[in-house]
Amino acid sequence: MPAVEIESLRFAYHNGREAIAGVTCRVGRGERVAFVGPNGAGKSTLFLLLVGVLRGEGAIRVEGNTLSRSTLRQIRRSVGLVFQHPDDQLFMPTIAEDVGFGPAQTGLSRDELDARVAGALEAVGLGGLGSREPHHLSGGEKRAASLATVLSMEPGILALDEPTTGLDPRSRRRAIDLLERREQTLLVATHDLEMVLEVCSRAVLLDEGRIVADGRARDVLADGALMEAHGLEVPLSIRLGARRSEPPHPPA
Amino acid sequence: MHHASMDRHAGLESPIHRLDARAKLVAAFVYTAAAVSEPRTEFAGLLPYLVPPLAVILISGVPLRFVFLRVLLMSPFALVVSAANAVFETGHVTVTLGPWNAVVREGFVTGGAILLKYLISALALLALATTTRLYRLAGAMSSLGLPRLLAMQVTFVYRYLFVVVDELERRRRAVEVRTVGQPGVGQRARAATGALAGLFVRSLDRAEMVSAAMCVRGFDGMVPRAAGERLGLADVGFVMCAVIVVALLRGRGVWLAG
Repeated sequence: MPAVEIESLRFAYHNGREAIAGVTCRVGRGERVAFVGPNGAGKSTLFLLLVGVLRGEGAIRVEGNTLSRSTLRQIRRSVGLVFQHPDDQLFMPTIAEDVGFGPAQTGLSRDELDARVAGALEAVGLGGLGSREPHHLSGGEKRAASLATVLSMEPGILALDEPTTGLDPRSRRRAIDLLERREQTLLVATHDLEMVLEVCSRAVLLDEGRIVADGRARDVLADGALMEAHGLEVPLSIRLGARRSEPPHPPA
Repeated sequence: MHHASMDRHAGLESPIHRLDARAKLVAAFVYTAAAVSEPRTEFAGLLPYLVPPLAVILISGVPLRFVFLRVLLMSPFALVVSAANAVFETGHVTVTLGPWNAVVREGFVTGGAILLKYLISALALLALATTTRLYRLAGAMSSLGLPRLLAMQVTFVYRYLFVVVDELERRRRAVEVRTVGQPGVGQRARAATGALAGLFVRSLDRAEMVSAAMCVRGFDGMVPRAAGERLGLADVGFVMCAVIVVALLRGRGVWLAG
């Protein structure tokens, strides 16, 4: 059974702009898929549709459950969505309360809740910082805390919207290492194409709400004409790799 | 951006910081109520009330300068009322300070009493606020009867106050770096209005995203209540001390005469 199945999904905002114009896509269990595309392509909108924050036309199935009012809670337990802006994700007074917010809705005992929170914070390298307040954290720490808030719910699928945006190189490296250690099905919406090459095996290129390419990450991102046609460019590591492999120029 | 939050020192380690927020809240309330309810012409009798909150602040390790700056910031209203009393209250009263007696204008005494009561209340409040995280204070108020919804609102407002302040500061800077001439009042007003309107719209957008973030993590309208922690011996002892001190201060006439 696939982890995620999307069929003929369409969605338009109140102003009439069609953000998703017929998307069909399947993600297998344990797969790591990057959703790339120019600004306004529909990446974030797709993730919001996946967890029922927005309602569109078409079918969405998560771990076999078709998205509907009655399956909303189940699906939201299955998919851990990390928002683009940590300040949207971190709304409780302390990190520990934020990380415990989701599991607390599921009726865990105090001890079980504390263990989940501690485990999630350790997993993202914030062990012992549960009593800190979000506005006292650095950008990298906020991103890590945002990830912890969904890890504590033990979802089978992680959906991350721009997980490395705004991070300094060290924090970015930490975030990438964190993602590489995850065993869940991974969906990542991102402009960080170098990160895609490190973390994801598959890339889905979206533009104007449609899927224009879907395949092996390296193959999709190395297609210069395709990337340029959709507002992107081939990652530097691929371009450098291509130059290195070019035969040397003959002497004049 | 740097935020001058009231509970900046709430993460320090001290016997006061370790006390339960409920104990500190009850003690602060009892103490303040006792001081404020002293007779309006009582001046000398209010002076000893300054000692306990100052002692609590010293024990907590919160810098006195931090506290007194805030006392000063909050003082304008009390200063105005005190000055009004001094000006408009005629009549004379006899003031006794130890072995000394003096007949003074009543307005000076009541004005001075108002200032002292303000100082005592402010110190007691700051002793509470600077040693207790706001969310714990809100939780304490909730467990002592404040509606949970209101306590939740307080914590959310405090959480996002800094986000709004950051946003406001960014907009102010944006206006500042593009102000190269001498804009008139009208132009400044338009820039300020635009910045505030944009802030309002962004706040609405942010509120929607936060709501979405809460819903996708199972929120159904009420933040689950955390399991209540038991009050310890130190907490009960602190409240008892506050009650005993208040009893001694209020009953000073009795034990001084005896």
